[in-house]
Amino acid sequence: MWFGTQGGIIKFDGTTWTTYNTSNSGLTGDIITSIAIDNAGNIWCAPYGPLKICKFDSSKWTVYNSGIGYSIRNIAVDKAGNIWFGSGGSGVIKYDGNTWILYNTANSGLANNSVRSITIDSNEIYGLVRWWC
Amino acid sequence: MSSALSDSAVKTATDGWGGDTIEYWESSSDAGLLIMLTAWDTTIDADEFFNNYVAFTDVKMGTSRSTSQAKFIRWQNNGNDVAIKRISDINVLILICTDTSVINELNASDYFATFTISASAGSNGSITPSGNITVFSGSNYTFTITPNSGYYIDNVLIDGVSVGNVTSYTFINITANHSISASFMNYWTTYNESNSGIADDLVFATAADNAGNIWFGTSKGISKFDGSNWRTYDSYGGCGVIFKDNTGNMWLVPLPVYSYLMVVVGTNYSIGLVSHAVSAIAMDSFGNKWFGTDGYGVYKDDGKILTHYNSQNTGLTSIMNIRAMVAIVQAMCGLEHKVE
Repeated sequence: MWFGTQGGIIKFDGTTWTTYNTSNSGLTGDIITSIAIDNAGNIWCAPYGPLKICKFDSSKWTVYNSGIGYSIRNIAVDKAGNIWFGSGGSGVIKYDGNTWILYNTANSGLANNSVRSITIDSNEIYGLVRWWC
Repeated sequence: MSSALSDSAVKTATDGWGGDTIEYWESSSDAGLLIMLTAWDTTIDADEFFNNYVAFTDVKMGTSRSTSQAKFIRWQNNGNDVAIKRISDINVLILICTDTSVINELNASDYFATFTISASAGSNGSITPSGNITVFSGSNYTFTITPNSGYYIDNVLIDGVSVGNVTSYTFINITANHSISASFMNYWTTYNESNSGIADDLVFATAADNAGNIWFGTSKGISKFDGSNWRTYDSYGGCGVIFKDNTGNMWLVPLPVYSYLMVVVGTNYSIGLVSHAVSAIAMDSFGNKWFGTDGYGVYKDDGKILTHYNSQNTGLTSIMNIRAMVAIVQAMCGLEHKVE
């Protein structure tokens, strides 16, 4: 089990609790509002704050620059392995392992750039808009 | 041109004229070179101009052509040198020079070599310009991609390689033929209070169930959408968390954010978490249900025993406030489910 908390990420394997935070790992922030596991088993999270997305492959942390100014609110993985990030004000980002593509109201017809929840259906993306705005 | 040709020939020659470039170069030895690059709307316009300009120059130079090929004709007379070159379907280049060595050199050096960029757009949008565009060696050329109303740029391919959903692209220092193509999509459909049966525009949570329904936790109720029809359950008020467990049950946590009451669709679920606001739900590979709370740590329900993890028994103060949870799915346990 992986827990996102206000003090980093906690992993529980059934017996041992392990904490990952900014002082002992590559995490770039300690407030973790969403966690996802991709099809390869990597942990994805986006600590509260702009720009940073972190990936943990069980040995090392990789930090990506999302290129957007709003915090990521939620993360989802589709069957093709794309990672989808819904942000608090910048729209939705898709990462296919190579390329980051931003979808927002200006370039994709998204109804609102504040995306609270992403649910992935069998083949459609339901990007649910509106957080508190 | 009318000094040597009839009015109708001049009219024919100049229809479709526009977008030209004229430059005058001068060498240190005072040799002058006038360069006129004419651009025409159509191949036919360029043909007419080329043919008439050749006829005009035949008259003006008063001498036979020194070079006469299908697309390159040249006259030399007493130090004056005139060349007309058809450099593309729509471009005619005219060189007028007072030093015959200059045109020799330019022509031999391939200075006026051209390349073709093939530009195309898929349905629901356009690229400007489009078709086969002729460009000079070493030049830059910009294309603009525009989707139709209601559509958006999906992808732009340069020589078959994606450059993403860019609205324009510039080829820099062109030294080869290239291609650019754009595709368009309509990504999103908006469902809101005014055009659908969703309970409210303020949506906190979404989830898909195994029957193909999408569930929306809104501030005024839980709405279910089967792709055509909406149904709203509002007896619990709003909904802040929705979770589909490993067996396909849908878990709903009513508002206020976040309630201790949880609803498994069809039945209420109570583990006595009175006033323990549930902020996240997960189920692990062994079927244990995990409830993260905002302020009271984590509960694990294995079906028989409820285990409470808090700062006292884990030594972790951060475990008290859970913002997100995810379970690693272990294939070895044999439960049939997938990460959704």
